[in-house]
Amino acid sequence: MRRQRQRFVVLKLVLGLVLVPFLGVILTDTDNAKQFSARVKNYMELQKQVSSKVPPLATTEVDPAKIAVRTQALASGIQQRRANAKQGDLFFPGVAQEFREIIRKELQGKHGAATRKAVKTGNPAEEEAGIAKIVLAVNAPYPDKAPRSSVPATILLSLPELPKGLEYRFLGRNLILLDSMSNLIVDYLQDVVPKVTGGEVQTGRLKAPTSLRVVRR
Amino acid sequence: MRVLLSLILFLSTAAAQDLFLPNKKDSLHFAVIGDSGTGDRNEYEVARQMVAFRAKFPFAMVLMLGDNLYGGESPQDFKAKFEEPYKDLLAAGVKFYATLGNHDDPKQRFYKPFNMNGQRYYTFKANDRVRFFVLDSNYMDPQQLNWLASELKGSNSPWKICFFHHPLYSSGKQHGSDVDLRRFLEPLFLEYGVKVVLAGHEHFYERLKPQKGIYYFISGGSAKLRRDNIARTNLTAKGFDQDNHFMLMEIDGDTLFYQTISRPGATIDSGIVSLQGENKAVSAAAAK
Repeated sequence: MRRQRQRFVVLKLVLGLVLVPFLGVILTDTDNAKQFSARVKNYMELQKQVSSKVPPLATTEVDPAKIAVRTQALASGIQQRRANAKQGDLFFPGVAQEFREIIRKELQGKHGAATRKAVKTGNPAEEEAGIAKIVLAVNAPYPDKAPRSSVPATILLSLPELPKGLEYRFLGRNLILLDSMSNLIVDYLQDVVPKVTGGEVQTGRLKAPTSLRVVRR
Repeated sequence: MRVLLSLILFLSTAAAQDLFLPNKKDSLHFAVIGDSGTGDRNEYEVARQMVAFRAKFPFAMVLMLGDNLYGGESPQDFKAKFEEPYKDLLAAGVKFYATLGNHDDPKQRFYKPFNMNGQRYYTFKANDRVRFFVLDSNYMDPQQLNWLASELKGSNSPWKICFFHHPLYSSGKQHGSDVDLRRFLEPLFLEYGVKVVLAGHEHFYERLKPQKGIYYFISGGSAKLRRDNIARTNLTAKGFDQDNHFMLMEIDGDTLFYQTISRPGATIDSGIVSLQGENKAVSAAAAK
């Protein structure tokens, strides 16, 4: 988290004072944040181990079939190694509370309208019909036919930084931790985007994610 | 009567396929497409029109503004939605440079014909005067912002052109301007002299009135089309939402020329952007 804080300082300097007022609350050096980063690191170590046992992927692959084969092999390996994984393994209750608080504040803040709109952009719950049904569960694959939400820069600047290959994404009102190399949902936080309640706390009228099915394990 | 009709048709077709760019031998020629990866008839027809125009305007590269593959990422999807429609251009050695849209799996960055070299965001120099900065607007994290600031600052190319999927300014009824993204990118563009920004996402063509001196184009209708989706705003300099389209651009010294062409081959917009100011949309004939 110290590295993250240093990066924020650098970013603020690079972008100049003009951007500083836009940066809201950030998840800083709390014990929960440290523990979350440690769990992320453990996951990435597991991904690295599985990755070393599947066919390598060139950064300039001519045959898209090889990308698909590797993604599937990586997903299978990770699913086997994390057979007992469950919701909350990475988003444990302490850090989950901090995530919810940060996202709530960003969605309601001075620039909340733009942030709420960005959360809806590309969100599968908002896109046109015809996408595959998405199972919201740990170790479930993110369908390649489904679009991916934008994650507002405002929120990405506030949440703990993730290593390459791991991303935050919104799925309906839920926040998922997505392994972008295996297309697996590593963990998720349900209903992190508050419900539409009217007045200042509106969330951009995010639709009910009719194509999502929440599976508890 | 039939002869007359044939003559009118011939003349209109000939006029429709006119090129209104200087087409100088040593200038930079390129094409722009966006929201192209449907694999449907519209995509193929736009691609055929690109091939027809390339016979007159030999562009060596195509910028792809995202949503390169809709509805799946299987090898068959790559074939039907990219390799087949653009096979003549690919066979001629035209290089495609892709950016990621919200319908794109980020692993497209490993696909060689998209020339992303495994990176979600990247930069490349087209010649001594032109550098492109290609962003992943789906996920503008601190690393990417830092990278962009550093690359823009370090570039001495007079022409700094950014392209990515989500438009910072848009009159689209469906999406509209991405204000959250704008808050972070626009200060960098202004600070480091970005002159032209290209985006897709909206399934139409829109040339925005210059915003703080920056020229924004939306070209997100190279296969998808959202008819009648441009709202009346004071942002629009020129809009077209009645058919699919693609763009041709040419940079010669301090001047960028653009021509936007519809699926049937009609010119729907053309004009000039100058590094020194004095930019103007011009009639097709005047552009020539």
